[in-house]
Formats: sequence, C-alpha cells, structure tokens
Amino acid sequence: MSLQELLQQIANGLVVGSVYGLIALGYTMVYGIVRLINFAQGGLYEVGAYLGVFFFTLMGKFGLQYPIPAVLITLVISMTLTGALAFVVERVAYRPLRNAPLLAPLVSSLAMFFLLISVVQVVTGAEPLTYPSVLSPAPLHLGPIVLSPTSLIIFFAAILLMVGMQQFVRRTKVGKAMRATAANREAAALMGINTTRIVSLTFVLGGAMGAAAGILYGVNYGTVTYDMGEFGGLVAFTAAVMGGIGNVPGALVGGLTVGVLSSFASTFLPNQWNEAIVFAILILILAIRPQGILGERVAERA
Amino acid sequence: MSLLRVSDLRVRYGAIQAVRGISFQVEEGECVTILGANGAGKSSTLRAVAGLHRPSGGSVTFGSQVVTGEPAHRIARSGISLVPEGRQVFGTLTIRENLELGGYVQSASANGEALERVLGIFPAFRQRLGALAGTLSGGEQQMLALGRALMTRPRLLMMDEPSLGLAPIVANQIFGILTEIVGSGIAVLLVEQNVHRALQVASRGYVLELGEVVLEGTAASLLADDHVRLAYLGHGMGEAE
Amino acid sequence: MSLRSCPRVLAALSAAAVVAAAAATVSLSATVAAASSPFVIGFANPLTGSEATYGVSDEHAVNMAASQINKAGGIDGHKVKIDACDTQATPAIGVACADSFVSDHVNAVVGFFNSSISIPASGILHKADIPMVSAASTNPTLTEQGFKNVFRVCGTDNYQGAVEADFAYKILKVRRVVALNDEETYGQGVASFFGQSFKKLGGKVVEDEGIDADATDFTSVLTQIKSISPSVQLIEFGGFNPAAGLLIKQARGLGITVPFISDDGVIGPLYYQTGGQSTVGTYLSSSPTPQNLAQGKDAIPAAKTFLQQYVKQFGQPTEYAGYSYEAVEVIANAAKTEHSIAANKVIAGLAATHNYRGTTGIVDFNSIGNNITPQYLIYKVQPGGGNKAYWNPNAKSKS
Ligand SMILES: Nc1ncnc2c1ncn2[C@@H]1O[C@H](COP(=O)(O)OP(=O)(O)O)[C@@H](O)[C@H]1O
Ligand SMILES: [Mg+2]
Repeated sequence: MSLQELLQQIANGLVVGSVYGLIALGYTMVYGIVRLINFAQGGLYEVGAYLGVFFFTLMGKFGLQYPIPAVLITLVISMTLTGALAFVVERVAYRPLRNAPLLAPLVSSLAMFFLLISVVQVVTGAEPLTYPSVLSPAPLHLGPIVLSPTSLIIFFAAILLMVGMQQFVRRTKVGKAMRATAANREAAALMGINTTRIVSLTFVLGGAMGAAAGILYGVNYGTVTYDMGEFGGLVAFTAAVMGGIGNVPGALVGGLTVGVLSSFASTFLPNQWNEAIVFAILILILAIRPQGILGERVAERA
Repeated sequence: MSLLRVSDLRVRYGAIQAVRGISFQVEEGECVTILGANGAGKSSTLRAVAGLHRPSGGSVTFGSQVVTGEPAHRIARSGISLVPEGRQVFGTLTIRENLELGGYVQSASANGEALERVLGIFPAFRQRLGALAGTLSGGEQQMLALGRALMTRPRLLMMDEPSLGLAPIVANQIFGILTEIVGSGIAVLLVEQNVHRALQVASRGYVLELGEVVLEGTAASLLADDHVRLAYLGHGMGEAE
Repeated sequence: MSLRSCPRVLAALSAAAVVAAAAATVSLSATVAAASSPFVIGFANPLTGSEATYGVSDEHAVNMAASQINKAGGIDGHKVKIDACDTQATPAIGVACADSFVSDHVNAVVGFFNSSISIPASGILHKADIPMVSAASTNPTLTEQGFKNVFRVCGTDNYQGAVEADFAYKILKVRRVVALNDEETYGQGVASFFGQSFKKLGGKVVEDEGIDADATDFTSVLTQIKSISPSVQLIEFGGFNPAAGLLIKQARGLGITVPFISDDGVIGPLYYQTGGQSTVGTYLSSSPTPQNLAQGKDAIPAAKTFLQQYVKQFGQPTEYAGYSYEAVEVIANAAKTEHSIAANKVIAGLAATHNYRGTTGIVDFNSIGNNITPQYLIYKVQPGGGNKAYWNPNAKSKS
C-alpha cells in the first residue's frame, strides 16, 4: 500500500467514523446515566435518516434550493422529532422496567430496535430512498487526499456536533446535572435534580444525535435503506465500547477508530466481511481492554 | 408548630419491616439525634424523610407542607438536605462542580455567594477546586458532602453517621463544624453511632430499636439513662467520664 | 360455542364455499370447451410491490396482444385468454403461480420476469410439459437446464456482458479495465461475461472484485482502484441500484474520472437519484425500450405500431413490454403454424421459430431456446438523468 493510499484510506475511515461516533454518542450517554445499552439507538438513527429524506424532499418541493439551509432545517426538524420518539422509547421500554433485573430493559430496548426498523420497512415498502444530491460531486484535493465536498462537510458537522455535545455536558448546568446523575443518581436527586427528567433528556439527546448521524449519512451516501440501522447500530455500539462506554469523548475516539480500522480491513478483505470484522473488533476489545480506550475501569467507580 | 413532624412512619423492604411506626419532631433551629444499633432503621428513617424511599405508612410534615411520598428532588427543593451515609460525593466531578451542584436549585449568583460562604467554612477546598472528588480522603469527602448540603442554606440538615470510618481527629473536626452549624440556626437531624458525641451536640434524642422508638428525651436525660449507658455508651451506672 | 372459535368456523365455511365455487368453474369450463375451448396463456409477473411498474406494463402489453389476436379470429377459432398471476417478485409466490398454471391446465405461459423465479418455475412447467416463453429473464441458466419447453425472446446476461466488452474495446478503445460485481447471480453473470469477452478481444482485466450489494460505503475498494488508476481506463459494474449509483458517486468524489459502464439492472430513475450528477456521461447496457425500437433510422415497423397503440391506451410502456407482447405473438404463431393448441405441438412450433419479425426485431430460437438475435444497446446518461441510446451493436452505422 502506497503512502498516498494509506492516507486516503485513513481519510475515508475518518469520514465514516465520524458518523459512527455520533450514533455511539447516543449509546454512551444513555449507558452513562442508566447503565443500559439502549439498542433502540440503531433504530432511532434509521428513523432520523428517513425523516430527513422526507423533510429534505419536502423542502425541495417548497422551492428551498440552497443546500446548506435546507440541510440545517432538515437536521433541526428531524432531530427534534427523533428526540421525541426517543422520549417515547424511554417511557415505554425503559421506565416501566427500571427496577427490574438488568436483562429486562436490555431485551425491551432490543425489541424497540426491531419495532422501529419494521415500521420503517412497512411504511416505506422496504425500498431504498434517496437524498437529493446537494453539492457538486467535484472532488477536493487536500494534498495527497481526495474527498468529495459532501464528505468533508459531513465530517466537520459530525465532529462539531460531538464536540458541541461534549461541551454541553461539561459546561452547562443541565450537563452537570447529567453528569451528577450518571455519577450517583440518588445523590443527584438529593441536590434537587429531577433525575427522571434527566434520564428522559438523555434519551432525547441520544436520539437526536442518532438522527443527525442518519441525516449526515444520507446526505453523504445519497441512499437510505430500511436495514441501515442494523449495521450502523452494530458498528456504533462497537465504537462506543471501543471508546469506553459511558464516556462522551470516548464515543468520538471510538467512532473514528472503528471507521479507520474497518476502512483498512475492507482493503484486505472483501467487504462482505464487514460485519464479521466489526464483531471481531468488538470481541478483541472486550478481551483486551474491556473498559475501552478512554474508559475507566469499572472497579474504580465502585 | 414543629419544623419537621414525623408520625407513625413505616418503611418496608419487601417483607422486611425496617421502620415500624415511629413518631418524632424537630423544632426550628433544634439539633435532634436518632440513636440506635446497626440495623435499627435509622438510615431508613432519614431516607424516607428525604424521599429516597417511599414510606409504606405514616406521614411526614415539613413546615406546613405534608411531603410524605414526594420525590427526593422536590423534598430537597423544599429545604431539607440529607448528607447520606457513606458521603456519596460525585467522584467523577470536581470539588467545584460538587459544590455547585449542591446549589443546583438556586440562581447562579446565589450559588456564587453560597460557594464563598461554604469555602469560608471549609477553607482547605479553596486551593483544590479543580480536583476530582473521587481523589479525596474519607474525611475530606465527608466535608465536601457537608459543604455541598450547605450550599442552599437548608432549613433542615439531616446527617447519616458523618463520623463513620473516620479517624477520631477528623471526626472531632466534623463535630466542631456541626456545632457551628447548629449555632447558626439551622435545624439538624443527626444519626450517629458515636452516641456520646451526638448527645453533646444535640439537645434531644430518640433511641431506635428494631424499627421502633424505645426511648426519647433530652440529651441530658438520655445520657443519664441506664439503658442508653449500657447499650450505647459501653459503661454501667455511676461511672463518670 | 365460545366466541373465540367463531373465526375458525367462518374460515371452514368460506373454504367450503371456495371449493364449491371451484367445482362450479371446472364444470363450466368443461361445457365451454366442448364448443371452442379458449387458448389460455398463464402470465406471471410482479404485479404488486417494488417491481410492479414493470409487471403491470407487461400485463397491458400481453392483454393487448391477446385482444388483437382475438379480433383477428383467435388461433384457429380458439380465443386467447390471459390467466394472470402476481409473483410479487418473490420466488415462493412465483413458484405457486407455476403450480396454479399446471392445475389450471393452461396452454402456455409467459413469465416470470425475475430470473430467480423463472428458473425454479420452469422445472414445474417442464414436468407438466407446458410451453414457457420468458420475456424478461436474462439469466443464462434458464435455458441451460435441458428443458425442451423453455424459450425466451429477450437476451441473456452473457450476451449483454459481451456487448459491453465490445463497446469498451472497440468504441471507447480502452485496454485495461476493472470489473466489479455485486456477487449476486445477475451481476456476477454480466461482469464475468464482460471480463471473458474483453480478454478475448485482447484487453486486460486488471482487477475483478465482488462488492457487498447491501453496503453503502465503497470508498475502500475505490481507493484501491485509484491507487492503480493510471493503468485503469474503465470501471465495469454488474449489479443493481443503489450500489451502482453509490459506486459512481463515491468514485467521482475520490477523483476517479475514468468511464463507467453498468447494466440493465441499473438503468432507471434510481440510478440518477442515488448517483446524481456523477452518473452523467456513464454508460449502461440494456435491452432497447419500446421507444428506442420505434425511432431512428433502424426503427422496426412492428415496434412503431405497438408503441402507438400502447401509448394510446396505457401511456408509456416500460422496458420489457415489447418483449411481453412479442412472447404472446410468438406462442400464437407457433400454434397457428402447427394448426394445434396441444402442448407438444406448440413446443414444436416454438422450437421451429426462425426469422420471425415482431415488435422487438427478429426472433430466432436456437436449440436451447435462446433468441440468437437479441438486441442490446449502450445508453449514455444525460444531464437530468435521461438515457440516450448511444451505440447499437447491430446497426451497421455508428451512431
Ligand atoms: N435496600 C434494602 N433492602 C432490604 N433491606 C434493607 C435495605 N436497606 C436496609 N434494609 C434492612 O432494614 C433494616 C434497617 O436498616 P437501616 O435503616 O440501614 O438501619 P441503620 O441505618 O439503623 O443501620 C435492616 O434490617 C436492614 O437489613
Ligand atoms: Mg445506617
């Protein structure tokens, strides 16, 4: 592999990885607060992508031609709606089971995931939908690397959202309440924090991040399919575990790492192996460094 | 009218009856202690009052409000602060963030003033505001938990075994601060295993056994009580300290 | 009786009703047969679902052919009757259509559109000795099973791959290419015949790789291609959308500018929707549409008539409508020449079809039932997503 190809594969991996990182953020935030792997996240990502197509196309019909405002408005509307859906997911699939054994909410979140995907499949008739192409396909040359303008924008938008979310959690009052709830839910309640609402909010934000990922993915690749949530959800989960589940910056690091790794993997293996590779990475992390790249060892918290 | 009135409070965990219908009061500005052996139901009582555990019966009245069964964050906002057993500081957050969260319900400016006031009580934290709470020693964590609870100027401060597991010298410091707090007019409900010290700070006390109040009275009367002396102070009649 | 068992009773009742109705139909058709039995052509196509646009257009064409034959007196007095069955593009359902044709004793079958259905269905019709003419199934296997009853008026994937190779080598004059496929029967077929033919012509296939049809990110494989790109002059892809659209879009995004050619599975609006601007100027091989066959200096007279009549009744036909029409005509022609509607006679008549001039050009069945004069055109994608016929391998003059 030449140096140029190496750099190009890394760049490709970073673009995909930034989208995975955004989805992973949803897993990691919810896990951080309620110690639950919310598998519905993959479904929310997909629903967000489909809502995106819908509103994006709608705006085209109303004559909004300028791509960037159209993408921004689509992002805001779809993130809001998907966030609302995540709110419902929390109410229906998590809250009634929060005192049940851990397996119960895990299974119900998995059920939610399949439900969301099936609904998309039924509503759209399992047909792939396409995002209107918004930017010129003319490639940009960045030194030895060539990227489409869309992928470059996708990458920076994803990073911006992730860094923004991180700053929100670090600096704002609500963000601090979220971290307090994650660190010690009872103590947080004793501070006057409505932890039930914080849990809801976390699901909502996670869902909104998933939707953003779905839209960015759709804008980048131009096509969304009813089963995109399966692979996307799996890869992002791996990314979250890799970065250290529960760790917000870890989602970004994990997403980018998984993106680059799978980009390399598919140069050496046919891309039918993609899913196998992702699982292999997941198993390796769990075996070698279960706490992930940035994760603390669980024992330290106890 | 009492500041806190608890009547016929019952707490159960499944089949286990931890608190079996106890009643007690705390007056405005008063320091009251609840004494009892391990497992007597002291923590359960405080947790039920604070809203962390829903009582299975009885009522809790704070000021003029009945707060029985309200969620913890509401009770906290009404002016009751609990420093829970085992401190429960936010280990992954900094000292500053822990203190700021103590004043979560108040405005940013009020919180700024409160921080100054609390740092006045615990000057050692001033230099270490950026340190993670998880890195502090047990005594420091207890101070932080107390400081965090004081950020809102609660009308009632409840403390669950603040000296547990601390070196005597550190425990002394804590009790010193507690005395100051009581002096400042904040009502305190104190649960302690260190009966002697507790009865020095408190003006009244209740003795809990197997979830029931078996004895109550002024600090002096409890100190003089044979049962208390035998069971909790570890020495018999007439033995002066 | 509890309320819960009511639906079951209802089901039993309705089943009984269906059986009774079926019995009535059988006895009815028996009496009609005595007068002049109809010539029943089973027609199986996807009439609902994502491929229904094609299926329904074909159904119109088949009905049009039947009514025209009937207007002209039928087949020696036997009226042509179409027995339509919806395959939903699903093999299990399509095979059930074949079973129903057998139990209905149809005289011939036009179908089943998807190769994945035509192949298993042909086995069932073979056992029952029912003649079958496919109008749209291009997988070579269909006619390679040794079934005497199976024919097709459309072309085959290998022929399509060969046309692509011809075009790449002779017209674009490229010598070193990459052939990709989606690892599914159809795409692999086109790509491998493209590669074989291209090598035969003297060209070199630098890389030959399968990609995951369900994936959406092909940048890895494209980056590899790009790293050897000075020597790659063309990318060929055998498969479907959205993979093709994504592939070309990502290729152009990576700065890969060489020509791109793909196939019949790709041509259609979804290609431009997924690939956008990047698809403009790419080439697609495909059977000619009825519209293509009816225009230009190579226009086929029968195609012109068909198009006019079709448009008048149903609007624009889709790609295989002309072939579907042709299939009915070829079957009727076989029965007429043999003066019999007996299955073995119709099969013999079909096998003897040579130089039949119809709506899609000339039909000439070889020993295994393939039409040896299929038409394939190379289209070029236009700005806005339209496809323009760009090269016709059968035309003497270059367009
Ligand atoms: N979460 C719980 N689940 C079940 N039993 C509990 C729980 N917490 C306390 N108990 C039981 O309730 C009784 C009172 O406990 P606690 O209130 O912690 O006593 P104390 O604080 O006086 O030591 C004990 O028998 C204890 O085992
Ligand atoms: Mg206790």
